[in-house]
Amino acid sequence: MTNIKEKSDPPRLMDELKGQMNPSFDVMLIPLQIEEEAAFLLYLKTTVDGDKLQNVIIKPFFEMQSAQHYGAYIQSSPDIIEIKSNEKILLELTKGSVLIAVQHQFFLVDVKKVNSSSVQQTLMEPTVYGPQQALSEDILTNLNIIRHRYKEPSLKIEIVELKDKTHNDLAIIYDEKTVKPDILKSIRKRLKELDAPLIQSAGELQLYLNGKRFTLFPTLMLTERPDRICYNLDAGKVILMIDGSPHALIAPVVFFDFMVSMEDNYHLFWITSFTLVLRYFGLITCLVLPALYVAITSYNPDIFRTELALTVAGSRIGVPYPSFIEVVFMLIFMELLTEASIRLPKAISATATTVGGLILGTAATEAALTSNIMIIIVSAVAISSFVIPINEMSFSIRFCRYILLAFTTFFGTVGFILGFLGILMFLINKESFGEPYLKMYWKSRRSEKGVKSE
Amino acid sequence: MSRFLYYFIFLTMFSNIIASVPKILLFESKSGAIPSMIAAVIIGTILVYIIVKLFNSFPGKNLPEMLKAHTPKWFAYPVLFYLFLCWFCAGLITLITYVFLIITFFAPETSIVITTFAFVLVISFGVLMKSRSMLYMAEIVLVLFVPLIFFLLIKFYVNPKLDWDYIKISMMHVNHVPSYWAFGASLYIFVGISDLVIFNKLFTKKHKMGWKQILIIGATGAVVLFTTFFVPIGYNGVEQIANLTFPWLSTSDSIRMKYGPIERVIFIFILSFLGIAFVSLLLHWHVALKLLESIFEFKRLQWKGKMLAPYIFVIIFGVISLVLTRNLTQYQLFSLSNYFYGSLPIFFTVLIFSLVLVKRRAKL
Repeated sequence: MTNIKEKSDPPRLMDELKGQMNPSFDVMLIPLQIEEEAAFLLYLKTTVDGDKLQNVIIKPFFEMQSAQHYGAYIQSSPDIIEIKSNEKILLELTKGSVLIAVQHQFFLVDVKKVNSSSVQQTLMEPTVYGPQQALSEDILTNLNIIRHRYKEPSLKIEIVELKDKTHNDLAIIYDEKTVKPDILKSIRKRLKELDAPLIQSAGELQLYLNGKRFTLFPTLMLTERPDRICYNLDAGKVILMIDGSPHALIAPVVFFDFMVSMEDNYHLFWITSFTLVLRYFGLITCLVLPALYVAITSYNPDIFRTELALTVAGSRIGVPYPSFIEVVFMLIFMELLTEASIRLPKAISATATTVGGLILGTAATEAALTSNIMIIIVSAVAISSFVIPINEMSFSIRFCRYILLAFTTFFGTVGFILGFLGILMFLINKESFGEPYLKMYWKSRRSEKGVKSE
Repeated sequence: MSRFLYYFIFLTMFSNIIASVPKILLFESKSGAIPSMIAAVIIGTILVYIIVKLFNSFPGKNLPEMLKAHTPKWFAYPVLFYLFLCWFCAGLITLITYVFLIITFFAPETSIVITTFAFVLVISFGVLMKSRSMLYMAEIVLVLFVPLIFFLLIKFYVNPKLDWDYIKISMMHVNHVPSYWAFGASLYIFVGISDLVIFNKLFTKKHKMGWKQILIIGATGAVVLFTTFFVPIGYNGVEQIANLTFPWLSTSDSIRMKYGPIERVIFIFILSFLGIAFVSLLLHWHVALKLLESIFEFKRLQWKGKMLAPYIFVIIFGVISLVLTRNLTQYQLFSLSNYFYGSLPIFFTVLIFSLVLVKRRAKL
């Protein structure tokens, strides 16, 4: 029983740290002791992987000949973390590290338990032919996925720690051979200037990196597809990944990036071209159609050939108010319907669409609140706005539609064209990390290879 | 030559159709229009060549910087101000002509102030953009609208209503002394290149200017002038052509598209040239604004680190155009643009002279 009497006290540092973390129930300070040799472990029970702790840290202690050997063993662990300061130790402990004290030496070893490392199915950007697996919520798993898909030694991954309360890891990933140094520099600068209390997802980070408070068009792209990430790495773009978010950010981006679906790369040439044309047609339709309806019915019915003009006018017989109220009225209901079907549980959303889309549509025309043609336009607009592959762009275009509508309502058909040119100018004048947002890329073969050209 | 230089030239060339150029040319169709056009194509191409060559010596610099560095103040500022006036007037004439045109043919019920205001609102935003964005805007608008314009031109040329006999008759008037005003108006289509005054800052490489480039510019200029002048004659005859206020608009209204949802070509014509006119106006006023900024540097007028001067200038531009469109008559506009086009030879002389002077002083 002499051993127990000689049982050494835990080092003072550990006591201090434990004191700082009390009264949390999960703080564990465990002594390991056999004969003369002793070691101490300090960790948070809720963050560490119990099995790994037992097998990698605790078991070897009892199998080693001496504490010196154990110290050497721990030191050569692949998960060891350099100790910089006491605050750093506390932070690492909360992330799932264990502090080990052996023979007046301290080691910090990462044994974190990750429950979110399972790879998810693609939800936002599904494809028929492409890879079906998206990213996971654990950054190491995600980095593994990317390394696995992009096996170039020039692929660089830098880990930065965010300064907010989550202290999440942020990975900056780029291909050293293709990336533009200026862009990398400006991204690093923006990250350094980041001043937000809590950043939990890539979407939120995008908001803070945008630079301006009021922005309409995204200057970073949010994606969940590993193949899109690799495709953009090859084009010389920088990928940002944040721990705990199943999305990655791509910067810089140009407007055309948002119109590319990854499926384009997996199909035959003519089929790809056809779908691309369809997509741009959808973009123009959903942006322009409501405003065009107002312009044609209220300002210049003489533009169309007589038969068509008469049909349009005929369908508006009995509608008691000017065309722009009709358009706004129907569009707002359509937006409500879209929002409802996104937010509702899947079981109910089908009912909402049926009631809203079919019954409301028919009833509204029968009550002469809108014209038949308006119903066609609203549904065409709704469908075509879903053609845009990246959701964020689709939202921005949805918003632009109302700007164009307002301009047309005030200034007529001329306002319609001028408003369209204005939106074009706004996009052209925008920049994403120094890259022009919208311009013609003649020299590149594929639309998304924005950065490389010129 | 950078592709953007072609855009500068082509934009002005295309926009001449909706400016008063055809009106002035057709006004003199029986006196000296044809020889003046021939002279303008030759001299205009040479002027373009000289200007590009001169700017080649100063890659990455704009004219205000060059003038301020190498010439005395009493010379630099008046020259810059004169150039500013020219660009401002060029933009103003495009704007007012287009507003008149819309009021006459497109939206006669809308008040002229509202139509002008729609223009001014969008243009003011556009003029304040970065110079680099201006180039991309020019490119995209050309890509979007030029196919449409080509389609229309083909429509104009293949239509059986185009009577080549009228054109042949009008060609008989080649043996006249060139008229000065017609010469000025035809020279307008080559004005675009002088946008380099400001945009040269963006071109750090030297432009290649060989026979090929000269030929492209000269041939395009000739084709554009030929179309501008002879197509309306081909549709309307030689006798009454001088009486039309908007010869091209009246011409385009004589064409129908049997199977299109839009039957009357005039609407497509107005809308597609609206894009071209808009960008041409944008470029002109952007240059004007930058020139004005280089003359009056109000460093004190700042708010939250932003210079206020450009905003004030743009508001002044807008107010002037609103007042003028309200008060000007068609006839006054016509004589105003006539004088403006007439002053173009002086404009080119001043520009080239100051460039040569700067080059001498810089000992390049």
